[in-house]
Amino acid sequence: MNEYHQQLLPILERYLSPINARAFLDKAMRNAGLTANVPFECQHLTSLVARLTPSLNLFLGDKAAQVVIGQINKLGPAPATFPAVRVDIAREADIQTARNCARSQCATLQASSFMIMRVLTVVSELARNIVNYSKGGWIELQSSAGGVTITAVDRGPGIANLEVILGGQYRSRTGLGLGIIGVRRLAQHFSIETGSTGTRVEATVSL
Amino acid sequence: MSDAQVSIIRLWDVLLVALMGDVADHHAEQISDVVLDRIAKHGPRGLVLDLSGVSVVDSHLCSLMANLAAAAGLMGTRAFISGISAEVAMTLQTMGVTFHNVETTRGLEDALSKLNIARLEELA
Repeated sequence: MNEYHQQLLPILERYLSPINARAFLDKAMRNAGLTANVPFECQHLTSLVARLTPSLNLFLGDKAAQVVIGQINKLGPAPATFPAVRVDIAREADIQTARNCARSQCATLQASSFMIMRVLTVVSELARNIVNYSKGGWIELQSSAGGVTITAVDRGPGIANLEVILGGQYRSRTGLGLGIIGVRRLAQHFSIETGSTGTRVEATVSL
Repeated sequence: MSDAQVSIIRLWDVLLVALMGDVADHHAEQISDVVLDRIAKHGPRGLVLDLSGVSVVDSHLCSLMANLAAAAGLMGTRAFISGISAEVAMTLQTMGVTFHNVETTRGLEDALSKLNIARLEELA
């Protein structure tokens, strides 16, 4: 019994007999090339689910199989397997770098294209603000199965009139307010601190 | 070093601008200048800005497009933004970004249709 057995068998045994559950899981693990010592990681889980799907479809029918797969997909990896990734932002080209980074982070998660677009847009907005309004900073991406937290820190002069901007009344000639309000609306959790030494924004997009 | 490309195509009396990749600020200014210059020279009755080649549309790009469309409008050219994907549409809606003075369509052919450029069978 390894971690895959421990995590997945309880789910499978709700819908299949213990013998079938064990047999399907072992076969899927063999086909996915997952030996007993492989750590419980997201990309392996995805590959395992792909191998399990035909057996589940056959025995349970498509609808029930989807339910089971949904429950398995909810088993996020341990947070330790998702290290935070930091991208320095100084020039315009770094915005694209940050987006590419976010894209590849999202690829390892079970995220819909709509959620991925939210994450990419948040990254884009915050990175662009760093480029346009400060001399430089960084963006950090921390993903887990529940969502992606984007932290953007810059060493700029801070945002004057933050209250006014967040209130939605500010009409900037350069577009600063729109981006921040947009990020707040896209994120499930949003926080911002700003001062003369810089600005820090944290936004979490739930997947 | 940027991955952006722009095609500006004249189709009868309509100007098509197709954006691809990431549009940097200096590009955007150039694009605006060229497009408005063409409008001044040829006076097209329609301008279509197609975004289907742009993967992420943020508020910055939106304001660039909106400004360009508004400027074109001032010169009497009807402006459209086409190629907005479902994901982009949902994101812009959630962010509260709205386009005034510019019509948006799903695809390029929808914008062209509104400019009465369509298959002969459809126009009859």
